[in-house]
Amino acid sequence: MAIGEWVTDPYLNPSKIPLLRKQFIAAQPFPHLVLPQFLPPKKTRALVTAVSKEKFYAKESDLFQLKQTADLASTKNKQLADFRDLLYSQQFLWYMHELTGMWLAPRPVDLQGSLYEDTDYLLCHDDRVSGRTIAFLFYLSTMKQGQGGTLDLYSSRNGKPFKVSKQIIPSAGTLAFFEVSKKSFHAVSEVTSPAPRVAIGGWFHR
Amino acid sequence: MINPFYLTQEMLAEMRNTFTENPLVPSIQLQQAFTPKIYALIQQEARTLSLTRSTDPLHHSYASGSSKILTNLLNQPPFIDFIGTLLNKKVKGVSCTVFTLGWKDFTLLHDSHLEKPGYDFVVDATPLWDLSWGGSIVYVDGSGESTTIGSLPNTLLLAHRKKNVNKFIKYINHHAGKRTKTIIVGSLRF
Repeated sequence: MAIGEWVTDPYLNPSKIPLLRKQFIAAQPFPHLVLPQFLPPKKTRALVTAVSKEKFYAKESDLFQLKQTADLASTKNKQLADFRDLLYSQQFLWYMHELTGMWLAPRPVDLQGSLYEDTDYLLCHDDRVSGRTIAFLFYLSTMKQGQGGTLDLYSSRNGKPFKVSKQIIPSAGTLAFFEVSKKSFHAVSEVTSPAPRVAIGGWFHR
Repeated sequence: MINPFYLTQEMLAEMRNTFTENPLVPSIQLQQAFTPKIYALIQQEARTLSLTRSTDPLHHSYASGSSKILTNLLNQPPFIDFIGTLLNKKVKGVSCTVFTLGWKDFTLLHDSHLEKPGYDFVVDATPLWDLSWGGSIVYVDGSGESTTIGSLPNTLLLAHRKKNVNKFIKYINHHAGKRTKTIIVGSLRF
């Protein structure tokens, strides 16, 4: 499938890519980008429908409370399989390389749907697990200010998270991604409303 | 000090049996553990104590402090003898810290803050609490097994924390509103 089916035109404009890469590298508190309306509305709607057919499993620990699908590496849902195949295709990985300057591998596929409902949360952590290079999220629902579910990026001091210095409010169709590093402390703030936070996210590995 | 209901030989025998039922975390939770007068004293002291707020996003968010009044009270023979009788061990004394947690507060498991094996006690001095708001104490071992203990006012939890078993306090969610949970967490000396 062509990348153009899944990515809106502004983000495929060759003249924009170097600027986006600069923004990524210079972003504070650590390299990241938030690309609103990255997915065409039709594809966003299709993914919402597809994800709603997946089984979500409640996950709970000291660090989090949320619901997740099984790894989409083996999904039988055609829409999700097409999306997965695009994300881990040479074409899209090259595109991500252009945006980040990083070389990314087509395997492993590390992709899941996530659902945060009222009182769900993910406390501060850095995502550092062997091989993870870029963490990404495609938001499939929109939250409003005050509803929670924000992606909170922490500044750091002496190698420890200091305070939330940026909050990203989910907006359907947005792609948000960041470099996984010893500085990439982040959290998902508690959802405080009936409105659910739905996303497909995962990691690219090197 | 202790509710007379728990002081009969029959109850002590039953409590000793209950204590050993959970292989992950041998424990027992006593509701209405203290007499009303003593509980009122505990609650009054714990809820009015001046506490220090502390936040480390990777480990905890809560207010805590120590109380000489509570430490002295809980080191008196009626309490330590009761615990010793229940555990069939000679308890020399206890140490304790008061914690208050509200919305967004929590503790996390972290490699740098693991506890040594031992015996915990937790006295809940919260006036009103709904377990769905969070704040429960969860014991976990390294294999993913866990035991959740949700305490209510005037409960006394006694737990034997074995090797590789640690505990955390579950995140308190927005439904708690402005209410806070106050617990006295301590350990036993033998």
